[in-house]
Amino acid sequence: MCATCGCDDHSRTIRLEEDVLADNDRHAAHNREMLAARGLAAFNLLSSPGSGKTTLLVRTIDDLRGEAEFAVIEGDQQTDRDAERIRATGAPAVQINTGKGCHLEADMIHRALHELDDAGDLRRNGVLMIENVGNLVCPAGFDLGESARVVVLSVTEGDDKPLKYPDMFRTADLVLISKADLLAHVEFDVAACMSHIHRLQPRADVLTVSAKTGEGLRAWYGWLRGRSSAALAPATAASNMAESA
Amino acid sequence: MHELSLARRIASIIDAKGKAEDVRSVRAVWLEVGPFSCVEPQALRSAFAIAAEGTRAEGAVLEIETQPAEGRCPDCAARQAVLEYFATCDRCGAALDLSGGDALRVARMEVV
Repeated sequence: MCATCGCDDHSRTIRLEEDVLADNDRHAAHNREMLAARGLAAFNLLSSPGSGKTTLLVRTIDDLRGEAEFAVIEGDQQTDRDAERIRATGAPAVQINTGKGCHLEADMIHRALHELDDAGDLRRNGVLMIENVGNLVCPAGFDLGESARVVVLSVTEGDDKPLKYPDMFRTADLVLISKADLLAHVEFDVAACMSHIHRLQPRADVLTVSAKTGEGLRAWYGWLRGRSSAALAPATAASNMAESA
Repeated sequence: MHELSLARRIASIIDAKGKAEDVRSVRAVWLEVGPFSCVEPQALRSAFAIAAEGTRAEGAVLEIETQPAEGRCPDCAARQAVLEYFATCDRCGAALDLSGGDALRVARMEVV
């Protein structure tokens, strides 16, 4: 009812100034705390379907066996085929099926983290890989609480993908140009692709890799090592602050 | 179509505020959206109409206000509002450094 004249028709304006993604960001912040408390680095792997994310992940887990303890969260609309591929390496994997959903959100990751934790699969100082739903559009806007974003772009997709899907590439910490073994068979200008990426995100690292031949994987593992210890730094800083306080 | 997920969040924010303020119904909602916020306005409007069904926001008009990013020229230090990727300096043509532009905020609503 209108406060001025008591009628039912007068409208009034209410200010909100509320962030639409505030709830997702709260869950993401909570995920970050949970990961930091266990010393885990988390990587959000993003790409279009078929870029070779799972193949790269399987090879990475195999190659770094004995050095890093991996846990994996797999996002797909349907099936747990990808989680099965990961489990075949011996690493624990939780599959999230989004149904008609086109991306992962932070609360889904939160539930998956608890599932892994309850099973004792979140190893201290380990590495969590989150393979997002294959989609170069929708997952870009949702923070999951990751330490870094890795966007995978295969050479069969074309070097102009960063121009066509700028939202995704703008948020990348690392772009992996994958399936480099096919470069001889496709028209893909690596230098042009890197230039497009750097116009959108000057700070992004770019590596060319092939999970099939092993090309570039040493650099990818080096990047992961650097980022994994960096991911531990904030937790150390926070605990130092707590001690001095 | 992540716009449906965003629309549900918007409807839920509005409904919660409407409940707290004893609102009968919401006529219009103003949303501030940056050009890099990963939102397609038309898709968001359609999704919002569906997401608002059965809430105080059912039938409300969704007004989308664009909040530009800020571009700063690395060469001549000029500043300008930017609405798209790959923007160049109006003064000297250099590629601009961008900041902001990812706002996605429910600003206000008109209610009865």
